[in-house]
Amino acid sequence: MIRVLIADDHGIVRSGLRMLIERQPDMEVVAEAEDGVAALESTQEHRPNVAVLDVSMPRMTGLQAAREIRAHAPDTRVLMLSMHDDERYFLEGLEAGAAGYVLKRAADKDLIDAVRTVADGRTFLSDDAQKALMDEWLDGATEVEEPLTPRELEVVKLIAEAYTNRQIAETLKLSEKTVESHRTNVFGKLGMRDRVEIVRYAIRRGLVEP
Amino acid sequence: MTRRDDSLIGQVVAANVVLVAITLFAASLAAGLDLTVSDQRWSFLILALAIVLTLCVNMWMLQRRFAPLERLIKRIEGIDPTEPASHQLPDRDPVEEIDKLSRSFNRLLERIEEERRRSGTLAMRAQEEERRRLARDLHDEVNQALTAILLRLEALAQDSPAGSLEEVNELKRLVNQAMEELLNLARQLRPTALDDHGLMPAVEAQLKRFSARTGVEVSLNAEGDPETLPEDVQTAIYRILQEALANIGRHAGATAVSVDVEADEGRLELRVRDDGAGFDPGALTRGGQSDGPGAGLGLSGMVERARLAGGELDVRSAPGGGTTVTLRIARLQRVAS
Repeated sequence: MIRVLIADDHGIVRSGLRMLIERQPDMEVVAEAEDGVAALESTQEHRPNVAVLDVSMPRMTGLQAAREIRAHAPDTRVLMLSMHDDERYFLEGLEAGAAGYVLKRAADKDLIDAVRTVADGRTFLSDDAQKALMDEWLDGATEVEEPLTPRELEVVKLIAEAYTNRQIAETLKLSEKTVESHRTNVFGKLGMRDRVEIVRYAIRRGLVEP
Repeated sequence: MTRRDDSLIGQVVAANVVLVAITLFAASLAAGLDLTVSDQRWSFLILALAIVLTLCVNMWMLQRRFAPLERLIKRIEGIDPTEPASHQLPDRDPVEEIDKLSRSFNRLLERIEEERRRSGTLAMRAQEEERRRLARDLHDEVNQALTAILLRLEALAQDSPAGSLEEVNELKRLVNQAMEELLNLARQLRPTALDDHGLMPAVEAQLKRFSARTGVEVSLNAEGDPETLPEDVQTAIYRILQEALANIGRHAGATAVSVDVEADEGRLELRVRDDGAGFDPGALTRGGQSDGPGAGLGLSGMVERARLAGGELDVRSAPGGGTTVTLRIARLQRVAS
């Protein structure tokens, strides 16, 4: 039995995912989450075989949650679910440690296959994603320089969503002191002075939606 | 009453006529001249001639004095509101009042231009913001609902009897198609990549899609760091490129397009070159801005965008010789917020 966690901030998508997955004789949905933080917590609690994560979610994006899940629950395989078909999004997904990437508009054809494939320890990419990756590889992939560590990016997202230091500390299970030092580092590295600039940065990096 | 009668010069002449007439009348009274005495009629004739002569000299002098004013008026009337370079009036004029008038007019023009640019920028920003919101809504609300429908249809398909399976599959196909169309629509409104990944990846993705759609070969060459440009400028670059590509796709019949983006210290150049049919740029200006043969090219929109970003747009083309669209911003200004 493949135990699946589904995380998407849209209730209707979650219920659709649940309906389709539960119809499979070899799968069950063990938990649902409506944001990245909840997805991470549920994963640690339920230890599903596969976590299906929407790419853009509040509090912690699907990509950030994938990174955390790989670090804290390495047995769970992550499958990214996304509306976007630009290759940059696939690459980010794979870089974050996802084992598969499924486009929402191909979810009817691909989702069940993808869950079985990644549960089996293999990698699943939808046709479009494979083609884009080949192109990128042929072009000689262009690396984006990211001055911030993944943890700092998590803090950035929460700052941009107007969380206080204490709330950030609670959300990420860190001490307030650590959050404070991350915050100082972020502002220092980016050369920014106030939250407004951080918000702009977070929007530009796709961490929050404008 | 004609306009001429109302003019300043006319009024001054009229006042002078009255004054001269009164003076002469008073003078003739004081001298005891009498029209009924026949040998004094000569004196009256001379007086009348004196009046006419005075008036002519008066007219001539006034017209000379007023000439700079007329010149100024002609220049002001010759100003093209769409062309800021034509706004400048001559700085120095020998006549003090005219000089002052011309300088204060220059200042007024500057203020109007500044205000125009400010409100134009605000309008452009509001438009981008609205498009962004619409695109997000299409993405996040409509497409998520369609995703849910698609997933449920797939669930339905898995235990449909063979008879209705075909119908369900057809529904899935329709939902799929709708999602793709919505995605395209959202992308045209405002690509999420522009906000998520920045200008150059968005430009790359746009070029790749253009090439896939039209079969035109595309090459991109970027120098410097366009990502550090102000957001309005990035948007202008993206939109001008979008419009230029749309024109190439519609009219040019090109086989290759090359795009260059150069961003150095404070200056920027975007060049879009195609090897297509080209057109006669002269026909554009001759045909007028709004309904000439070039109206469908959206050029005036591109020019306006370039201007608001603090730059200028240069379109070079010749029939059969391809087209080059260049956006040049010589001095990147901080954007007024």
